[in-house]
Amino acid sequence: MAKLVLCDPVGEVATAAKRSPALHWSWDQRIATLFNNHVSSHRVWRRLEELLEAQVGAQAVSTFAKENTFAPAPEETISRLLEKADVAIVGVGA
Amino acid sequence: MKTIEIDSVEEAVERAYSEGWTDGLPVVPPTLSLVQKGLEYLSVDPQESLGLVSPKHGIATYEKVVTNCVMAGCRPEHMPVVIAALRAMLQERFSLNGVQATTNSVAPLVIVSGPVVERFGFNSRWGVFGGGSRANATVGRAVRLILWNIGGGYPGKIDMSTMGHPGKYTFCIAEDREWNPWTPLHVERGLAAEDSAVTVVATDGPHQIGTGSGYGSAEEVLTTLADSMMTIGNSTMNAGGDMVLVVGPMTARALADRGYTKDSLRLALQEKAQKPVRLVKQCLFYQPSHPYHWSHVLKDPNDPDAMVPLIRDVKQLVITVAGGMGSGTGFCSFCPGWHSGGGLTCTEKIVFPN
Repeated sequence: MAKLVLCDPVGEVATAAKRSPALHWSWDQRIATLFNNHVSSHRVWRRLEELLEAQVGAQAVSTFAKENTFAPAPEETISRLLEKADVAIVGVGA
Repeated sequence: MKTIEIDSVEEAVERAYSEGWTDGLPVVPPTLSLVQKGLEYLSVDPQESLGLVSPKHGIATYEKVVTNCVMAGCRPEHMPVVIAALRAMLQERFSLNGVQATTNSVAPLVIVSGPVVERFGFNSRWGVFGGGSRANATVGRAVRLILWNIGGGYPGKIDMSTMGHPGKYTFCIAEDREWNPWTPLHVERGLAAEDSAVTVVATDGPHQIGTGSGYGSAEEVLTTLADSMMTIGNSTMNAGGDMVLVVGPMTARALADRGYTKDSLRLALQEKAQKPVRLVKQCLFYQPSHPYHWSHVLKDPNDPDAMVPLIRDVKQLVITVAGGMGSGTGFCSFCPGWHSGGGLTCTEKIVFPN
């Protein structure tokens, strides 16, 4: 009996996620938070920022936010963040 | 092309499950001959990409798209409709990454309009959201399988929709051309009347509204529509964004006979679909600090008597005419959207091969 040949419908993935290398970290670095504005993570982020400010002082923490949770931050936001911080906390919450 | 050889149709059906190619419903075995027929009809390079489908960032080559269309049961001529839907979903403002991954229950609603509706037998009448037409069922199904197999929208893994809805199997309706007394949807969206098009909006499942348009005044119909649309727990009420009102043909005719156009209907519903702050604030779905929260569109969100609009901008209310004739009940359906940041209305012209 003739064989049936099936085509695979699964799309090849364009970019495989890579784990970032561990970062050197110290509390004297300038810190930024990039809040993703997810509806479920507002309280978590506010608390995170409070904890950071208590640890290093409010002056040392810069806060940024994306308006759209599901889209990358605009270049302009990233540029401003880079001017103000050595490290950034992103992606917490949803 | 990655292929698998098997011995029988029965084995092919089971193999689709074991390979994870389907979300639960059986599929048409995507045989090489059926896929080649689709590609030949489209006259495209099988490896040309239409884009990356989020959130997995799968490469939507024509070959993969056609394979999923075959599995859905599409005939080759249905495939340009699916391709238009995919192009629409890949527009940035649709934010497919979020639509696929959100804890919300939205799914892309595909609305087909223009001459293709009759040409391919899309159902735009009785049971428009239900079964009965191969075109609606298979185009909607192909969209879902593409989101599954190329986009990776697996429930509980990447698709975190807590509730989902049945439209995540297939969710395709058509606008009725003969019974629509107003401007066709795709013409409102900038295309020519003789064009055919697909419009996508990410929405909840349809909520039926019995308007009584066969018996009541326009004022009563509008009040009924508005009150049924502005429930305080729906996403659009809380966070804005686009939404779809499917006006049944009897209600459309009743309103058109009283002088309403789509634009004046939108304005009337914007005025009526408002709830007081004292009621809306009891829903803590969105935090007031969120940029999409309803409080940001009010002058004084602390005034308990201030009115919160469902429709922040009239452009956010998509109106289409579909459904069957019935009693004077004048049924319509409302599909709340997602929010101001995504799932927004996108339209693409359907391009057929020469």
